Amino acid sequence: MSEGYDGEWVVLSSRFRLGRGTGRELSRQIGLLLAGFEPTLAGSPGGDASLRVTVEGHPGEPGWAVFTRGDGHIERRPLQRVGAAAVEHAIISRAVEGERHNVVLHAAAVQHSGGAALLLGDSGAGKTTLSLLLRHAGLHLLSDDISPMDPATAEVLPFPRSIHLDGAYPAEVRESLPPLPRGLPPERVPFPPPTAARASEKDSRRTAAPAPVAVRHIVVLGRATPGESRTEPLQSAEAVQHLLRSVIRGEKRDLATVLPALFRLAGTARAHRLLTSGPLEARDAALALLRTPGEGAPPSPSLS
Amino acid sequence: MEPVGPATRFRLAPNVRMECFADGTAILFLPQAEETLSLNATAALLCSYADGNHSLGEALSQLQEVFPDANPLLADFVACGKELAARGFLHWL
Repeated sequence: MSEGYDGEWVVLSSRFRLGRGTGRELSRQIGLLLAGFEPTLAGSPGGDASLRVTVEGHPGEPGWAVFTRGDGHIERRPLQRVGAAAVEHAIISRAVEGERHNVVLHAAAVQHSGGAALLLGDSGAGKTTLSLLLRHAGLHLLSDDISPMDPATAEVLPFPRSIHLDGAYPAEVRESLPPLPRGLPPERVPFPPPTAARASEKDSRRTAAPAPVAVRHIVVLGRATPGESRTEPLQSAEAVQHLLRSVIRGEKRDLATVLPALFRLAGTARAHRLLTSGPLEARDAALALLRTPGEGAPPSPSLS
Repeated sequence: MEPVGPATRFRLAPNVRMECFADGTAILFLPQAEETLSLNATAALLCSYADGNHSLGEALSQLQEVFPDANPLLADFVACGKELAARGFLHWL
């Protein structure tokens, strides 16, 4: 992971490069927020679309992120307030909407010994909180909000965008994150580095593309009243519907191209609905679920 | 059209795709409308007979052979079929 401003990042199938004229401090902050994305990756899909990003406007005021393709085509995206967070958001949005290879899910993902677990839920359901709590418990964080999936294999890829802490979080979450770098808004935290063991593993394949991970669990988050917490198995068809609701539809991607990957995923992963009354309860229930033997096996036939 | 009953034959609407899973559930997909519908195992079994050659009564008999302990009613099958038809996934013949 780079320490600061590198000026160029591969996000999904797009390569972004900050144009000259972006202020030094703004460039540094954008670089910190995008530092999880490797600037140069052998074998990465980056380069399908190479975009130069320039920022128009004054800090704190409305402005524009301007994306210029190699062929001169220009796209302009409004920024509510010029700043690193808004520019990072524009870059991530452009990458997701323009993605042509991976299916992009609005989901968190963590990796455990048996594979990956996708955490699904509406905004505010607790995906970020649970994924950070699971990281604190020793699992590897792949993403807290957006998870790209290879449609050919139904494996997920890490998506190390910055963490958006825009609510109240358990103490464990804040304590587990590195100190906030100078100049960044307090609700934006650079993607946390991997644990020590993972870090050495990552260093050894620094020039390789991010490794995809097979999904073994699909966990749909929901709320329960205190004392009513429970974990319910989901049938495969129900899991597909939840996955469908989580798909972020990009340009020119119709449902027919997405469904086979979701079918494959729902047919091979175990799906559960996790209804809990609080984040720590959700963490304990998720850990119990992910450590259940027999992970990856499809559910037994049943009639309902 | 005659009222839907045990002798009514039925088939999936043209272009509807059905994906079945190991747990018996299934997804119906209507590409032109980009609409999907999830089916529990009973509804999936009903749709597996939606080929234009089977009637509702025959589908019910088959279900009772496969799952002797289950006790589905013809009325439930008719209601399920009507909902599928109303949503454009199934045609009565």
